Formats: sequence, structure tokens, C-alpha cells
Amino acid sequence: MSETEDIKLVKACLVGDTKAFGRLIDKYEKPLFNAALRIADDYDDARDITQTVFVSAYENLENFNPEYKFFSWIYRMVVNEAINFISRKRPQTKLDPDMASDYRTPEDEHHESKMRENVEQAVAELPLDYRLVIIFRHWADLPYRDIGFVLDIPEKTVKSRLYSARRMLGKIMSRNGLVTYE
Amino acid sequence: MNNAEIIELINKELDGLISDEEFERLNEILEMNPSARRLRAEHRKIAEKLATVEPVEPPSDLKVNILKKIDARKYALARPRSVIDRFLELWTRSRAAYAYSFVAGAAVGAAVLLVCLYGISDHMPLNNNELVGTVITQADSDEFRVVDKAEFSPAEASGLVTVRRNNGAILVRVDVVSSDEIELVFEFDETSVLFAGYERGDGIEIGTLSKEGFISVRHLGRNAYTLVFEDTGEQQTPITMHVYSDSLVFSENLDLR
Repeated sequence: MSETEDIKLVKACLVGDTKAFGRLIDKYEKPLFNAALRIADDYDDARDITQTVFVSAYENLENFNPEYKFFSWIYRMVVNEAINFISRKRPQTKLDPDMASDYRTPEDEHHESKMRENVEQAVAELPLDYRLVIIFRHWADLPYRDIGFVLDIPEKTVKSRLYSARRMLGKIMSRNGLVTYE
Repeated sequence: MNNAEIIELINKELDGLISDEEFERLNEILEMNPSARRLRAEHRKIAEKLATVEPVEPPSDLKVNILKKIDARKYALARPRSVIDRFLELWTRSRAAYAYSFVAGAAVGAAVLLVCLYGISDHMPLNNNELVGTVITQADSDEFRVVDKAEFSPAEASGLVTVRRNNGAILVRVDVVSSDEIELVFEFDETSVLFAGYERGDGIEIGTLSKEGFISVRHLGRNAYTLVFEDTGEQQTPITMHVYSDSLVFSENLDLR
């Protein structure tokens, strides 16, 4: 589905077509839920954040500026909601490895699963600003420009922060034995 | 060659944004510069590790819950709010709004006084004494044929709604059991049918409301009642029934033909 089709769906929603919004949910619930999950580190919280944001997006569709991508707009809402959520909910809970393995890992993939959990844990150790750029670039596949829009920072800052985040992550992974360098 | 250039090229390569020209330039640098090779290798390993993390499937009921919430919010915005709701809304407003709240409170007070003195014509509790229309006696009941039925059994409530009609009247019989307080809402087009009466059952009823094209019955436990509508003779559109607990739990169109 193209960006133009997203805008058509938004226009349909604005005249009361809830089914059109259902199609936008189908398209974006997974990346948005995953963004919330990576920031909040809790499956149930991520579900609540995603639900809240979709409802809020529906109610604020008239404020959506079609000059931007719908995905970037709603992604920004998820990020803000998730950040507000974790700032309200201190101390922060970490992603439960047992929970994570429950919904995606067969037993014969135990080793790989453990590795993934360790990678997630390493990312979770990053300071929030750096964690976000890693999540956006590597897991949401957002281009620099959209990351800049979501975080309200210049593209140049996105690049430098991403570089620093990778450096920090490398150190954490090295310390945790996830990577070794010759 | 400087550090900024190396970092820029490594980042671009990693993010799939590098041009052929830049790629050649990167390779030149890598051949000459061991620390650049190390840096590139580090970043590639990190990217590989990050790529092992697969996206998590969201809950299967996420979409349904979102749409239910949207539906419920639309309903909540549309339906009349109680005095308590309005009071709570004012109470939670910021300090800056206290002055407005005071003025609004005075206006509400005056309105309540007027309502007490003169009553209101819209959005009143159901009162059969004030309703006019088709008179149905027990003897008429055989003349009614069943035109639609709706069963519902979400966790919060279960029930059966039966629609019967003859040439002039439509009866909507509701038998329902709920563990918590629920609200049944019936929305209808008044050019199609007119609300004519309400026959109370023997259940626990908390409250009823009616206004143009809208009837609400709130209750807890077992309840049974019949809503009576008069056929206007125009083309008939269905009556839409919603069941609300904390949120919308069931919706169905009741066919009248």
C-alpha cells in the first residue's frame, strides 16, 4: 500500500469510515506495537500504549498533515506515549525473557532465542535517546529523515547519534560476550 | 581522509545508502587504514546481531479492541452525559479553568432549578404514562410474527432479543442476564419507527432513558422487558442494539421486516 493510499484511507476515516481505519491498523499495528515494546520493555504495556495511540490518532486525524507520512506521524505518537509511559512508571521493568520466548521461540531454537534476548537486553541498556535511534533504524527501518521527524531533531544529529549508539552498543555487546573483535 | 568521512561512509554502507562511488572510496580507505577496518567490522557485527531480533507479533485481539474503544468513545461523545460526569469533568480541570467552572457551575445550578421547576422534554426517564401510540393487549399477541432474533454472550452478559411485528406495531423483547452493570442501547430512525411504549419485566433495573431515536436501559442481573414501536409506514431501517459494559461488548442490527 502506498503513502497515497494511506492518505485516501485517512480521508475515508474523516468521513466516518471506521473500516478504513481498520486497514491502517492492519498495516501498522505490528511496527507500532514493536516500537512500544522495545521502549516500554513490557508486552502488556506495549499493548496498552499501542491501543491508546491508535484511538488517539483516530480522534486527531483532522490534525494529520498529509505532507508527512501517516506512519511517521503515528510512530511519533507511539514514541511520545511510550516515553511518557516509562517516565511515569519508574523503576523501569525489563523485557521478561520467559515471556519473550513464550510467543516466538520453539525449543530447537533455544540458542538463537537466547542470543536475541541478549541483544534486546544490550539495546535496553542504552540511554533512551540512543536506544531510540537503534530501534528506529534497525528494527523499524525508518530512514534518517523520518527518524529526525519522529524525534524532532535534525537529520545530521540522527546520523551522529546513530553512530554513537552503535559504538556504545558495541561496547555493551563486547562486555556481555555477544561480540568479539580481532 | 578524516574520521568524519570514514564514519559517514561506514554509516551509509550499513544503512544501505552508499553509492557506487562512495563504496569505492570506502574500500580505498579500508585498504590503507586498519583502524577503519576494525571500526567497520565492529559496526557490521552489531548490525548482524540486531538483525537476529525478529519483530514480535502483537496480541491477536489488538485491532478488535482498538475498534471497540473507538466505537465506545464515539458513543460516549454522542450520548448525553450525566450531571455527575459533567461535575467530574469540571473537577479535574486545571486551576486556570476554575473561574470558568464557577460560572459554568452557576449556570448549571440555574439550569437544574429550571429543570426542577419545569421539567425537560427530551432525554427523560421512560414513562409509559406520557407515551402514546399503538395499544397492545394480550389478545393481540398471536397476531405477531417473529422477524428477527439476536443472541449475545460476551463475558459480561448473555441474552436473547426477539423482534416480533404485525402490520402496525413492532415488539422488541429483551431477556438478559449480566454479572455486572450493563447498558443496552437501542438506536432507531424515527422516520421509520416511533417508540410507543415500554413494558417493564421483573428484573433489576437501574435506569432508563429515552430521547429522539435513542433508548437506553441499564440493569444488573436478570431482566426482561419489551419495547414497543409503532410502524410509521415508511421504508424501515433496522434498530441497532449496542451492549456496553465498561466498553462496547456487542452490537447487532435488528431487522424489522
